[in-house]
Amino acid sequence: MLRLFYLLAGVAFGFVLIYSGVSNYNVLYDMFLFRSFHMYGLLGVAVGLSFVGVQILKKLKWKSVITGQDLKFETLMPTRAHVIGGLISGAGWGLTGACPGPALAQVGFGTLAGIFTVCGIFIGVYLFGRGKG
Amino acid sequence: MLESYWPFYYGGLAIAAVALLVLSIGGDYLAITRGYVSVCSIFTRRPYFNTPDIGGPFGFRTMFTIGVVVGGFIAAIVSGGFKPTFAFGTFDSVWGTSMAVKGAVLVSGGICWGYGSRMAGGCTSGNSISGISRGSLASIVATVCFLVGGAIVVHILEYVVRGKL
Repeated sequence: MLRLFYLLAGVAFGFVLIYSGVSNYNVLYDMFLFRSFHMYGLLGVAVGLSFVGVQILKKLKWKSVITGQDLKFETLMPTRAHVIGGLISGAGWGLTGACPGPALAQVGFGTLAGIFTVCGIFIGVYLFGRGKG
Repeated sequence: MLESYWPFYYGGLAIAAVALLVLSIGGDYLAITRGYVSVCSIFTRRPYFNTPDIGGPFGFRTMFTIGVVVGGFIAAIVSGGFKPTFAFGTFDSVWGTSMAVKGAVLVSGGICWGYGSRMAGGCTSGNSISGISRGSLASIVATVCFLVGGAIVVHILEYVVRGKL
């Protein structure tokens, strides 16, 4: 049940990542040159609404519909890893013009350059995990 | 690449809707790079890839990852058919159309994303959407660094690399 739900949620997410323009290299390129407001507006709306939604779920002491477990609301204080990892990630974002989710959506959409990005992300994730044991 | 995409407010609304559905129904946060970790767990028994929150090989996070690819495919069908191409918009006018260059640049960029986001505790979904929505300061810092890193690289691409290859 949980796996079926996540499969369907993934399908919805992939669809949205194409239709919202975030899987389009040109949109990301123009965002980083400050020539287009689209991505900033989109991130602002997405983050703002998610924040309000999560705070409401927290107030309601919401439990997962499928697992019945309490939701977690852990927060972290920033460390060097967030800064350095964030900048390395950002360099990757600039080079590929796609986040890890949109890169997957590109592959399904037929934007085959995304295959290279996805392969690179797998290598990077594996290298980091290997370093951790 | 889809050229006639939704205005930003519909896109933002739709992404927030998916994030909140995943959390309220599934019980865990939207976090794409953890999906990559869970796909890795199919091929490796190393402990980093097999912690309980990853969900195991072929677990829910792997399903989500597969779903995103399928969702992209459905978007192609809905928007006029699956037309696979290696053409990549502005990328091609910056780097040229050489397949070797394209592969090298995108795989390198992907490695940065994969390694960096695991170091930073998540990518745009795990940090920028999920982390900030919980009020996590670390995620705000990571998100600012994503944007700064990307802006630096693309400014170099536009003003140094473009037209030189």
